[in-house]
Amino acid sequence: MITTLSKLVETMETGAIPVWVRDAVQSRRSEIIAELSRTGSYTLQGPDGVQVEIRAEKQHVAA
Amino acid sequence: MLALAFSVLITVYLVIPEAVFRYIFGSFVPTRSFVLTRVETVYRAVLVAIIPLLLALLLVWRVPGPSNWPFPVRDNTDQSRRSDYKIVASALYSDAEFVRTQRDFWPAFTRSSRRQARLVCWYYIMLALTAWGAGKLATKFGEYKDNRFYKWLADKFLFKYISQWHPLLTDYFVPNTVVQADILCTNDTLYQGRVTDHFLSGGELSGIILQEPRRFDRKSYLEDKASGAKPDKEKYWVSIPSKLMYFFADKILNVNLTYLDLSGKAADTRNVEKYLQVQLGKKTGEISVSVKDAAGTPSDQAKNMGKI
Repeated sequence: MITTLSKLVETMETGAIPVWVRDAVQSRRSEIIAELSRTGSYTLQGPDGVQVEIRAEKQHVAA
Repeated sequence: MLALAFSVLITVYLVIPEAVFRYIFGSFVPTRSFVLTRVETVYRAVLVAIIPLLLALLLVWRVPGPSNWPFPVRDNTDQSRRSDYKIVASALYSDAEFVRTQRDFWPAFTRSSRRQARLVCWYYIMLALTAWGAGKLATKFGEYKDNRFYKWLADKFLFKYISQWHPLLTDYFVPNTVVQADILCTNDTLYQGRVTDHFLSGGELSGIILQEPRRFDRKSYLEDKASGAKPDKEKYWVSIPSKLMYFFADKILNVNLTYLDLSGKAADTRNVEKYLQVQLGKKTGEISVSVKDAAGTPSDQAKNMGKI
Protein backbone atom coordinates (compact mmCIF):
# COMPACT_ATOMS: atom_id res chain seq x y z
CA MET A 1 0.00 0.00 0.00
CA ILE A 2 1.33 3.43 -0.91
CA THR A 3 1.19 5.66 2.13
CA THR A 4 2.89 8.80 0.92
CA LEU A 5 3.15 10.61 -2.37
CA SER A 6 6.94 10.38 -2.34
CA LYS A 7 6.58 6.59 -2.25
CA LEU A 8 4.20 7.00 -5.16
CA VAL A 9 6.99 8.84 -7.02
CA GLU A 10 9.38 5.97 -6.34
CA THR A 11 6.75 3.51 -7.51
CA MET A 12 6.15 5.53 -10.66
CA GLU A 13 9.86 5.75 -11.38
CA THR A 14 10.36 2.02 -10.83
CA GLY A 15 7.14 1.21 -12.67
CA ALA A 16 8.36 3.23 -15.64
CA ILE A 17 11.12 0.67 -16.21
CA PRO A 18 9.90 -2.01 -18.63
CA VAL A 19 9.97 -5.49 -17.14
CA TRP A 20 12.24 -6.82 -19.89
CA VAL A 21 14.82 -4.08 -19.17
CA ARG A 22 14.78 -4.96 -15.47
CA ASP A 23 15.09 -8.68 -16.16
CA ALA A 24 17.91 -8.18 -18.67
CA VAL A 25 19.90 -5.86 -16.41
CA GLN A 26 19.53 -8.06 -13.34
CA SER A 27 20.51 -11.25 -15.13
CA ARG A 28 23.38 -9.74 -17.14
CA ARG A 29 24.69 -7.04 -14.84
CA SER A 30 28.37 -8.13 -14.78
CA GLU A 31 28.32 -8.77 -18.53
CA ILE A 32 26.99 -5.26 -19.21
CA ILE A 33 29.57 -3.62 -16.94
CA ALA A 34 32.42 -5.56 -18.55
CA GLU A 35 31.20 -4.75 -22.06
CA LEU A 36 30.78 -1.07 -21.23
CA SER A 37 34.37 -0.79 -20.03
CA ARG A 38 35.66 -2.81 -22.98
CA THR A 39 33.77 -1.35 -25.95
CA GLY A 40 31.93 1.60 -24.41
CA SER A 41 28.43 0.44 -25.31
CA TYR A 42 25.93 -2.34 -24.77
CA THR A 43 22.57 -2.93 -26.41
CA LEU A 44 19.58 -4.57 -24.77
CA GLN A 45 17.12 -6.24 -27.13
CA GLY A 46 13.46 -5.87 -26.19
CA PRO A 47 10.17 -7.13 -27.58
CA ASP A 48 8.96 -5.96 -31.02
CA GLY A 49 12.51 -5.04 -32.01
CA VAL A 50 12.90 -2.26 -29.44
CA GLN A 51 16.51 -1.66 -28.45
CA VAL A 52 17.98 0.19 -25.51
CA GLU A 53 21.54 1.25 -26.16
CA ILE A 54 23.69 2.02 -23.13
CA ARG A 55 26.79 4.08 -23.78
CA ALA A 56 29.64 4.82 -21.40
CA GLU A 57 30.31 8.55 -21.60
CA LYS A 58 33.91 9.68 -21.68
CA GLN A 59 34.80 11.46 -18.46
CA HIS A 60 37.07 14.49 -18.51
CA VAL A 61 39.99 13.87 -16.21
CA ALA A 62 41.47 16.89 -14.48
CA ALA A 63 45.09 17.45 -15.41
CA MET B 1 -20.47 27.46 31.11
CA LEU B 2 -16.77 26.63 31.08
CA ALA B 3 -17.45 23.74 28.68
CA LEU B 4 -19.22 26.11 26.31
CA ALA B 5 -16.32 28.55 26.42
CA PHE B 6 -13.91 25.66 25.79
CA SER B 7 -15.95 24.54 22.75
CA VAL B 8 -15.86 28.06 21.34
CA LEU B 9 -12.07 28.23 21.81
CA ILE B 10 -11.58 24.82 20.11
CA THR B 11 -13.69 25.98 17.17
CA VAL B 12 -11.91 29.32 16.82
CA TYR B 13 -8.37 28.03 17.39
CA LEU B 14 -8.47 24.58 15.75
CA VAL B 15 -11.50 23.76 13.63
CA ILE B 16 -11.85 27.00 11.64
CA PRO B 17 -8.05 27.41 11.11
CA GLU B 18 -7.81 23.90 9.65
CA ALA B 19 -10.62 24.73 7.22
CA VAL B 20 -9.01 28.09 6.34
CA PHE B 21 -5.64 26.40 5.81
CA ARG B 22 -7.16 23.79 3.54
CA TYR B 23 -9.03 26.44 1.53
CA ILE B 24 -5.92 28.56 0.90
CA PHE B 25 -3.68 25.53 0.31
CA GLY B 26 -6.30 24.17 -2.09
CA SER B 27 -5.99 27.25 -4.30
CA PHE B 28 -2.47 26.03 -5.20
CA VAL B 29 -2.89 22.25 -5.33
CA PRO B 30 -6.15 20.26 -5.36
CA THR B 31 -6.75 18.81 -1.94
CA ARG B 32 -7.97 15.35 -1.11
CA SER B 33 -11.01 14.48 0.94
CA PHE B 34 -10.53 13.00 4.38
CA VAL B 35 -12.48 10.54 6.42
CA LEU B 36 -10.71 11.06 9.72
CA THR B 37 -11.35 9.96 13.27
CA ARG B 38 -11.82 12.65 15.92
CA VAL B 39 -8.27 12.11 17.21
CA GLU B 40 -6.80 12.40 13.70
CA THR B 41 -8.82 15.58 13.12
CA VAL B 42 -7.41 17.14 16.29
CA TYR B 43 -3.88 15.97 15.46
CA ARG B 44 -4.06 17.46 11.97
CA ALA B 45 -5.57 20.70 13.26
CA VAL B 46 -2.84 21.05 15.91
CA LEU B 47 -0.18 20.40 13.25
CA VAL B 48 -1.61 23.15 11.06
CA ALA B 49 -2.18 25.59 13.93
CA ILE B 50 0.98 25.31 16.01
CA ILE B 51 3.39 27.51 14.02
CA PRO B 52 0.92 30.34 13.18
CA LEU B 53 -0.30 30.35 16.78
CA LEU B 54 3.22 30.61 18.21
CA LEU B 55 4.02 33.44 15.79
CA ALA B 56 0.79 35.24 16.69
CA LEU B 57 1.52 34.88 20.42
CA LEU B 58 5.01 36.26 19.89
CA LEU B 59 3.53 39.26 18.06
CA VAL B 60 0.81 40.10 20.58
CA TRP B 61 3.04 39.57 23.61
CA ARG B 62 6.36 41.00 22.54
CA VAL B 63 6.22 43.12 19.38
CA PRO B 64 5.30 46.83 19.77
CA GLY B 65 2.34 47.65 17.55
CA PRO B 66 0.70 44.24 17.21
CA SER B 67 0.89 43.90 21.01
CA ASN B 68 -1.93 46.42 21.39
CA TRP B 69 -3.51 46.65 17.94
CA PRO B 70 -6.23 46.03 16.80
CA PHE B 71 -8.67 46.08 19.74
CA PRO B 72 -6.43 48.05 22.12
CA VAL B 73 -6.76 47.56 25.87
CA ARG B 74 -5.74 50.08 28.54
CA ASP B 75 -3.26 48.82 31.11
CA ASN B 76 -2.23 45.94 28.88
CA THR B 77 0.44 44.47 31.13
CA ASP B 78 1.21 40.79 31.65
CA GLN B 79 -0.03 41.06 35.23
CA SER B 80 -3.40 42.63 34.34
CA ARG B 81 -3.85 40.07 31.54
CA ARG B 82 -3.32 37.17 33.94
CA SER B 83 -5.61 38.77 36.52
CA ASP B 84 -8.40 39.30 33.96
CA TYR B 85 -8.22 35.72 32.67
CA LYS B 86 -8.26 34.43 36.26
CA ILE B 87 -11.43 36.39 37.06
CA VAL B 88 -13.15 35.25 33.85
CA ALA B 89 -12.18 31.58 34.23
CA SER B 90 -13.27 31.49 37.90
CA ALA B 91 -16.62 33.11 37.15
CA LEU B 92 -17.29 30.75 34.22
CA TYR B 93 -16.37 27.77 36.37
CA SER B 94 -18.63 28.56 39.33
CA ASP B 95 -21.92 30.47 39.63
CA ALA B 96 -21.06 31.41 43.20
CA GLU B 97 -17.77 32.90 42.03
CA PHE B 98 -19.60 34.74 39.25
CA VAL B 99 -21.97 36.33 41.78
CA ARG B 100 -19.08 37.21 44.09
CA THR B 101 -16.93 38.83 41.37
CA GLN B 102 -19.75 40.25 39.23
CA ARG B 103 -18.48 43.83 39.56
CA ASP B 104 -15.02 42.90 38.27
CA PHE B 105 -16.20 40.21 35.87
CA TRP B 106 -17.67 42.27 33.03
CA PRO B 107 -14.75 44.74 32.67
CA ALA B 108 -12.32 41.78 32.84
CA PHE B 109 -14.43 39.84 30.33
CA THR B 110 -14.46 42.82 27.93
CA ARG B 111 -10.67 43.25 28.13
CA SER B 112 -10.09 39.50 27.72
CA SER B 113 -12.41 39.38 24.71
CA ARG B 114 -10.56 42.26 23.09
CA ARG B 115 -7.21 40.55 23.73
CA GLN B 116 -8.56 37.30 22.30
CA ALA B 117 -9.96 39.09 19.24
CA ARG B 118 -6.54 40.70 18.67
CA LEU B 119 -4.76 37.35 19.04
CA VAL B 120 -7.23 35.69 16.66
CA CYS B 121 -6.71 38.46 14.07
CA TRP B 122 -2.94 37.97 14.05
CA TYR B 123 -3.33 34.21 14.30
CA TYR B 124 -5.47 34.08 11.16
CA ILE B 125 -3.07 36.37 9.29
CA MET B 126 -0.14 34.10 10.24
CA LEU B 127 -2.22 31.07 9.32
CA ALA B 128 -3.04 32.51 5.89
CA LEU B 129 0.67 33.24 5.30
CA THR B 130 1.63 29.72 6.40
CA ALA B 131 -1.01 28.17 4.14
CA TRP B 132 0.17 30.35 1.25
CA GLY B 133 3.80 29.31 1.86
CA ALA B 134 2.86 25.64 2.18
CA GLY B 135 0.78 25.84 -1.00
CA LYS B 136 3.68 27.45 -2.87
CA LEU B 137 6.08 24.79 -1.59
CA ALA B 138 3.67 22.03 -2.55
CA THR B 139 3.69 23.20 -6.16
CA LYS B 140 7.50 22.91 -6.32
CA PHE B 141 7.78 19.16 -5.78
CA GLY B 142 9.26 18.45 -9.18
CA GLU B 143 12.05 20.99 -8.57
CA TYR B 144 12.96 20.05 -5.01
CA LYS B 145 12.10 16.35 -4.83
CA ASP B 146 15.76 15.37 -4.38
CA ASN B 147 16.20 17.68 -1.39
CA ARG B 148 16.02 15.55 1.76
CA PHE B 149 14.53 18.23 4.00
CA TYR B 150 11.89 19.12 1.41
CA LYS B 151 11.05 15.44 0.93
CA TRP B 152 10.63 15.01 4.69
CA LEU B 153 8.46 18.13 4.93
CA ALA B 154 6.41 17.00 1.96
CA ASP B 155 5.84 13.51 3.37
CA LYS B 156 5.01 14.65 6.87
CA PHE B 157 2.93 17.67 6.04
CA LEU B 158 2.35 18.90 2.49
CA PHE B 159 1.34 15.63 0.83
CA LYS B 160 -1.24 14.84 3.49
CA TYR B 161 -3.46 17.40 1.84
CA ILE B 162 -2.90 16.71 -1.86
CA SER B 163 -5.28 14.61 -3.90
CA GLN B 164 -3.44 11.58 -5.30
CA TRP B 165 -4.95 12.27 -8.73
CA HIS B 166 -3.24 15.63 -9.12
CA PRO B 167 0.34 14.27 -9.31
CA LEU B 168 -0.74 11.33 -11.44
CA LEU B 169 -2.62 13.32 -14.08
CA THR B 170 -0.47 16.45 -14.31
CA ASP B 171 3.24 17.17 -14.75
CA TYR B 172 3.55 17.61 -10.98
CA PHE B 173 6.12 14.82 -10.54
CA VAL B 174 7.87 15.24 -13.88
CA PRO B 175 7.85 18.98 -14.76
CA ASN B 176 7.58 20.11 -18.37
CA THR B 177 5.93 16.94 -19.55
CA VAL B 178 2.49 16.16 -20.92
CA VAL B 179 0.57 13.18 -19.68
CA GLN B 180 -0.54 10.60 -22.21
CA ALA B 181 -3.24 8.26 -20.99
CA ASP B 182 -4.34 4.89 -22.36
CA ILE B 183 -7.81 4.43 -20.91
CA LEU B 184 -9.48 1.04 -20.91
CA CYS B 185 -13.22 1.51 -20.50
CA THR B 186 -15.71 -0.89 -18.99
CA ASN B 187 -16.97 -1.77 -22.51
CA ASP B 188 -13.46 -3.15 -23.24
CA THR B 189 -12.51 -0.29 -25.57
CA LEU B 190 -9.05 1.23 -25.30
CA TYR B 191 -8.62 4.96 -25.90
CA GLN B 192 -5.47 7.06 -25.99
CA GLY B 193 -4.89 10.78 -25.81
CA ARG B 194 -3.24 13.58 -23.89
CA VAL B 195 -4.75 14.51 -20.55
CA THR B 196 -5.80 18.15 -20.71
CA ASP B 197 -7.90 18.28 -17.57
CA HIS B 198 -9.38 16.13 -14.88
CA PHE B 199 -12.19 16.66 -12.42
CA LEU B 200 -12.38 15.78 -8.77
CA SER B 201 -15.38 15.38 -6.58
CA GLY B 202 -14.41 15.50 -2.92
CA GLY B 203 -10.83 14.65 -3.86
CA GLU B 204 -11.86 11.59 -5.90
CA LEU B 205 -11.67 11.39 -9.69
CA SER B 206 -14.96 12.05 -11.44
CA GLY B 207 -13.77 12.51 -15.04
CA ILE B 208 -10.85 13.00 -17.44
CA ILE B 209 -10.67 14.98 -20.68
CA LEU B 210 -8.36 13.66 -23.40
CA GLN B 211 -7.11 15.80 -26.26
CA GLU B 212 -6.84 14.36 -29.79
CA PRO B 213 -8.26 11.03 -28.68
CA ARG B 214 -7.92 7.81 -30.65
CA ARG B 215 -9.38 4.36 -30.25
CA PHE B 216 -7.55 1.05 -30.53
CA ASP B 217 -9.15 -1.34 -33.02
CA ARG B 218 -8.54 -4.36 -30.86
CA LYS B 219 -10.88 -6.63 -32.82
CA SER B 220 -8.98 -6.23 -36.10
CA TYR B 221 -5.68 -6.45 -34.27
CA LEU B 222 -6.61 -9.76 -32.64
CA GLU B 223 -7.97 -11.13 -35.93
CA ASP B 224 -4.76 -10.23 -37.78
CA LYS B 225 -2.68 -11.67 -34.98
CA ALA B 226 -4.69 -14.89 -35.01
CA SER B 227 -4.16 -15.20 -38.77
CA GLY B 228 -0.44 -15.47 -38.12
CA ALA B 229 0.58 -11.97 -39.18
CA LYS B 230 2.87 -9.83 -37.02
CA PRO B 231 0.72 -6.70 -36.81
CA ASP B 232 2.16 -3.30 -35.96
CA LYS B 233 0.08 -2.04 -33.03
CA GLU B 234 0.49 1.58 -34.06
CA LYS B 235 -1.54 0.96 -37.25
CA TYR B 236 -4.62 -0.07 -35.30
CA TRP B 237 -5.13 3.27 -33.62
CA VAL B 238 -8.15 5.01 -35.18
CA SER B 239 -8.43 8.78 -34.79
CA ILE B 240 -11.67 10.05 -33.34
CA PRO B 241 -13.05 13.15 -35.10
CA SER B 242 -13.25 15.30 -32.01
CA LYS B 243 -10.77 17.60 -30.35
CA LEU B 244 -11.61 16.66 -26.78
CA MET B 245 -13.21 13.60 -25.27
CA TYR B 246 -14.63 13.34 -21.77
CA PHE B 247 -14.47 10.09 -19.81
CA PHE B 248 -16.68 9.48 -16.81
CA ALA B 249 -14.57 7.95 -14.05
CA ASP B 250 -17.10 5.22 -13.31
CA LYS B 251 -16.75 3.94 -16.90
CA ILE B 252 -12.97 3.60 -16.64
CA LEU B 253 -11.50 0.20 -15.84
CA ASN B 254 -7.83 1.21 -15.76
CA VAL B 255 -5.49 3.93 -16.97
CA ASN B 256 -1.95 3.55 -18.30
CA LEU B 257 -0.03 6.81 -17.95
CA THR B 258 3.05 7.93 -19.88
CA TYR B 259 4.83 11.22 -19.28
CA LEU B 260 6.10 12.72 -22.52
CA ASP B 261 8.65 15.49 -22.61
CA LEU B 262 8.22 18.50 -24.88
CA SER B 263 9.81 16.70 -27.84
CA GLY B 264 7.18 13.98 -27.53
CA LYS B 265 9.70 11.44 -26.23
CA ALA B 266 8.66 9.29 -23.31
CA ALA B 267 10.09 10.51 -20.04
CA ASP B 268 10.54 6.80 -19.34
CA THR B 269 13.95 7.04 -20.99
CA ARG B 270 15.15 9.26 -18.16
CA ASN B 271 13.91 6.72 -15.64
CA VAL B 272 15.66 3.90 -17.49
CA GLU B 273 18.87 5.92 -17.43
CA LYS B 274 18.48 6.57 -13.71
CA TYR B 275 17.68 2.90 -13.09
CA LEU B 276 20.74 1.75 -15.03
CA GLN B 277 22.98 4.18 -13.16
CA VAL B 278 21.89 2.64 -9.86
CA GLN B 279 22.05 -0.95 -11.07
CA LEU B 280 25.42 -0.61 -12.76
CA GLY B 281 26.95 1.53 -10.01
CA LYS B 282 27.54 4.52 -12.28
CA LYS B 283 27.39 8.22 -11.45
CA THR B 284 25.22 10.78 -13.22
CA GLY B 285 26.67 11.50 -16.66
CA GLU B 286 28.79 8.35 -16.80
CA ILE B 287 26.31 6.55 -19.01
CA SER B 288 23.65 7.62 -21.49
CA VAL B 289 20.73 5.71 -22.90
CA SER B 290 18.97 5.83 -26.24
CA VAL B 291 15.96 3.86 -27.33
CA LYS B 292 15.48 2.69 -30.90
CA ASP B 293 12.59 0.98 -32.58
CA ALA B 294 12.75 -2.11 -34.82
CA ALA B 295 13.92 -0.05 -37.82
CA GLY B 296 16.85 1.27 -35.81
CA THR B 297 15.60 4.84 -35.70
CA PRO B 298 15.26 6.70 -32.42
CA SER B 299 11.79 5.82 -31.31
CA ASP B 300 9.13 8.49 -30.67
CA GLN B 301 7.72 7.58 -27.27
CA ALA B 302 9.67 4.33 -27.75
CA LYS B 303 6.25 2.69 -28.19
CA ASN B 304 6.34 2.71 -24.40
CA MET B 305 9.27 0.35 -24.79
CA GLY B 306 7.07 -2.67 -25.09
CA LYS B 307 4.67 -1.80 -22.28
CA ILE B 308 1.45 -1.74 -24.34
